[in-house]
Amino acid sequence: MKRKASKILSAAIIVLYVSLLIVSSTSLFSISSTLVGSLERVEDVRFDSTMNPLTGVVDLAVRVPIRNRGIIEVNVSVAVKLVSADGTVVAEGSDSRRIGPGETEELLVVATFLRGTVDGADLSFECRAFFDLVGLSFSMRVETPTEGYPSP
Amino acid sequence: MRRVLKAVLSASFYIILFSILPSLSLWLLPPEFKSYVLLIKDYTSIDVQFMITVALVVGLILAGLSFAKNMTYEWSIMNLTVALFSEAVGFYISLFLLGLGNPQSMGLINIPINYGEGATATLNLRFIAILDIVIMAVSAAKSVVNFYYARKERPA
Repeated sequence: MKRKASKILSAAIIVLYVSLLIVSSTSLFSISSTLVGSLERVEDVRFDSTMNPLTGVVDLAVRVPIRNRGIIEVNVSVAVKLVSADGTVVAEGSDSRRIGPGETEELLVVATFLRGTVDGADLSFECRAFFDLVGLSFSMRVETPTEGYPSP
Repeated sequence: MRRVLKAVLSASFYIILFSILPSLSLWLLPPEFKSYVLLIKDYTSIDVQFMITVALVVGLILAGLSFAKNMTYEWSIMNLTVALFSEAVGFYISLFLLGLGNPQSMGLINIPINYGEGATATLNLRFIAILDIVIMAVSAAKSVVNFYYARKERPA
């Protein structure tokens, strides 16, 4: 009886350790590879903007190419929040995609705002793997250039 | 004699894994890469040197506990106490390493980055922490089961 109970528990411990090893190694490898693969192509990030001269409405489109160099599927999301000088969110946009191993996808974030109202942007990048159970995210605030869109 | 050898080998495993390997790996790193690793502390709250020191201390504690466990009889209350304490210490070090030096984070690590305004990185390893809890629970259950049956089968 002792041997049987002990053997079952020992087998369960081995299975759990192997699962832990597989989950952590595949997830962290895929997330870090995707991050590195995307950072290598950071110069490919494109900012397209159009402004209506009559209304002063600006349409901003950010295209972010993401390359999954990992071994399992990852869920990548990018979000942009445009904020005014007092911290109010003026406009926001986000996009997310599931990207298979070896694939490259382009995430498109679109935001519409009135010229002269934006003072900064909160950028966030999130990458999740293994049924979205393991993830890594970055967020930071950047000052936006105002030369192109002067205050009215 | 065989018991002593098993106890020494088991203790050596923990010393090599937690005390020697981390220190050795940092020491063997190329100088430029080593300076990058140590620079992480200036940009984030992660102190690699502190983590290695904690791993070294925990490795020695685990080695001592493992030696004590192998040197005591399975039916003794000391064996069970040492086994459970060993599980708890092992669980602490895994949470400590998962939390990059902060075991209270339970796998959800917020790392403020001293670069740009309000830059933060968040590492979500909750699932791995949960798996770790389950492993600790099953290991503790195994120790209790072994102790219970060893006590029952203990020679009078």
